[in-house]
Amino acid sequence: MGKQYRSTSEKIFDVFNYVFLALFGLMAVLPFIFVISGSFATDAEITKRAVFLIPKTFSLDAYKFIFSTDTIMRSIGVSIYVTVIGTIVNLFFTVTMAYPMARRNLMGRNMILNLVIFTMLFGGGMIPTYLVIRELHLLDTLNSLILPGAISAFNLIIVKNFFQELPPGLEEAAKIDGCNELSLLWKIVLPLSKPVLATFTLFYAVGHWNNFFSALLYINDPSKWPLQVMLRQIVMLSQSAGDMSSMDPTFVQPPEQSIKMAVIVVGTIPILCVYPFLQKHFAKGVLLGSIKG
Amino acid sequence: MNRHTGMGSMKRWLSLWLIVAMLVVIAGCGGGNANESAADPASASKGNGNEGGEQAEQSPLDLTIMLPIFKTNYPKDNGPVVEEIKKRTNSNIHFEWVPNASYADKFNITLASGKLPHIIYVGDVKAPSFVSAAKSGAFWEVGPYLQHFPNLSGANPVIMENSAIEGKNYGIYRGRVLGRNGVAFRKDWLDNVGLETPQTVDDFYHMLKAFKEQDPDQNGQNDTYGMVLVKWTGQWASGFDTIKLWFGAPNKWGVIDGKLVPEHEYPEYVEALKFMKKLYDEKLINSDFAVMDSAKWVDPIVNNKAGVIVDVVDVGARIDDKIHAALAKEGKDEPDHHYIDVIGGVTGPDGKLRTLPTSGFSGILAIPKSSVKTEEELMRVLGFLDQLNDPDMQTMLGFGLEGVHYNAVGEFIEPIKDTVKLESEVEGLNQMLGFIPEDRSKKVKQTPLRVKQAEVQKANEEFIVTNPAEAFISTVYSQKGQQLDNIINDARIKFIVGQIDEAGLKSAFEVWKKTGGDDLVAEMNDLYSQVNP
Repeated sequence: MGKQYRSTSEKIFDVFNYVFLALFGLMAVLPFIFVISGSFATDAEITKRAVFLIPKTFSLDAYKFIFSTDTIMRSIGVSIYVTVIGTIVNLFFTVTMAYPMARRNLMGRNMILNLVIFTMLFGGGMIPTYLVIRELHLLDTLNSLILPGAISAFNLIIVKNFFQELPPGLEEAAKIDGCNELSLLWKIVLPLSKPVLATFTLFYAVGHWNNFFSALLYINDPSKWPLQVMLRQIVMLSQSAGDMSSMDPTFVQPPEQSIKMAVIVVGTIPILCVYPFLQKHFAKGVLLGSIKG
Repeated sequence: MNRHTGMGSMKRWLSLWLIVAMLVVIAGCGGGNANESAADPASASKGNGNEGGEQAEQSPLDLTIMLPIFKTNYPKDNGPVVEEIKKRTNSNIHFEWVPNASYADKFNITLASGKLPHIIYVGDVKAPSFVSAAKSGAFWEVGPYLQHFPNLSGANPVIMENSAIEGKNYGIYRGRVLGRNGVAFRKDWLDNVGLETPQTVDDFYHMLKAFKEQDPDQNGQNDTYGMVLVKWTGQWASGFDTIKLWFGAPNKWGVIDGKLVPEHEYPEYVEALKFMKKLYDEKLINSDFAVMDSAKWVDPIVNNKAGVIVDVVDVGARIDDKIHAALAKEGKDEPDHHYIDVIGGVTGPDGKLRTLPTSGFSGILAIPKSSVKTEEELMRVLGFLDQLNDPDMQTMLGFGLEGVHYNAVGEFIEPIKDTVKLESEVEGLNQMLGFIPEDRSKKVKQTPLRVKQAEVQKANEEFIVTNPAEAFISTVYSQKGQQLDNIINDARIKFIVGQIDEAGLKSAFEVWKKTGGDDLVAEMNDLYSQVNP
């Protein structure tokens, strides 16, 4: 029909809307741009100019320093391994547990659900968990970052509810066409669940990527530290030098600003790369005409 | 139909089977061995593998050492320096490096797990988790054994007391400068106003006065004052904590007739406050001292606004460096000239010099009984720590190997420029140094001012006023300490700026008593009488 007539107030509202949204967007993006440009600037410039978006000086020193030893590279490798394998493990177990629980004819379904909910409300706490990990001989292994929490109870319930929403007619139709239980899950249910799976892939992956605390507790071998532990080391060090002095024989010089920024960039870019691939699934509708009404 | 029921039951069984499998995963393989207690000694330590003390003399000592690390690179177990240490001490060392920012968490969980290394760094000796573990006998009390070792026997008794729990030492302290506090002042200003280095409190006062009135920076303007003071926290030395000692007040607690008395009940303490009031009234200190942030402490000195700081002695060189940097920007720097001089303090009315000590240590190295089981083993571990404090070993742990990590220039050393090499082979090893009896490692070449600082700090040790209650762990203080400190802090600030008179000050001290000060004094005296019967 072409453009509809819009009143002045509507136009003003739109202008404000765009301005606000632009401001919010900038609030999120600008600090990150500053960190990226800071990582390419020399340290002298960062101390002189408080905030800038385009560095006047250009140097790759920070990155050269980071990659001069294999510590950071190795920790990136550890992080990627834990994230990829961990997320696959998460999804496999979450789906294979949620699917049967979505079935009304499962024996003891409510009891199982209650047990799951119980774990959401009551946790053992840090030290008992540590003892369990120790008794399972998972200390100092990357599995200690993958196996505990392989199923997030919260995510499990959401996935289960999603499966329950699927029309029962689908299942019957597939059965009539000669589908067995596993191929039903694989060929019908999962393809329809792409939006949900994409969401939880992202949640799990980001969770693994940002997880530093379990690594800190369960891993004593520094060569198995994920990137986040390194990142925290570098960023926290400059804040801990409060009561030390040049006289202290064990005084440690904090790293330069630009190195901190470069490490943050290195730590963020890989997980940023995951978003675009999952983005398209978020927007998709859930059920695209699989059942004729 | 038949087939259909088959499908249905199969479906049911399959679902059930999957669920069971899942539950097993969720429960984290609960089928563990229930008989295995958490504190199973077999799993508690890797074991030294020596059945008797005879073989132990020849076989290398297995050591796992848990230390904080500040960088992302860390010395590897097979690095050149570590290999050299192993060779000299006849030991196999495995390091567990823990990021310093999270050391406390890791420490607590390691403590709870019962799987402890042979040597563990304890950052906070007064942390409840460590105190209760030590009291329950989880760590060796090393105090009585130190006399058998050439270096460790030289441990400083003051620091030993400060790092003790109820008079017992559960670890080797990591020594730091004890007489660290003093006075730093603008030497060039002092020359300009024609005064000598101050000796007494009166001299000190005249110096401040001259710095205000006689145009010490010779710019023709009346824009200077004497001393920079920052807000008092009651914890970290803040100027007054040092000055009160000059007047004869004790360090936090005094002893009268065998009883502990809080410092503010001493007339000398009030005298010191009156002195501060005089400085404030005559505008010899910054009038915003009550809100001045300690991060900006040195700025007025660098910017030619004030001339004196009473703080740690080593602030002197830091100010000096900044002045040089500022002058270099203007192209007026004289690199060989020092603008700052330092003294340990000035003598009080009774002609005695008194200085404020630090605790003198930065954490301790504790030895758990679960991993070091016998006295023989303990003696070997202590022997190892003792050996690390030989002068050449101190140098090696601090700077690495000569010709590899540093070059000798005369009696001084010059570290190589390759920071990555230093970080991944040397830095961090000095975390297990106690510096007992003192830091005897070779040094990087120092400026004359830094040399003097070290001398002043060394000389200060003779004049320190110790806090007799330093080592006590008070429950009252942990509950109400903040509140109690605030009462005193507020009162003394108000007194100095003239909002209350001496009577007002005294009534604030009464409020302190009623708020819990009396309980604190009683509790402290309880603790004191246990240690000094």
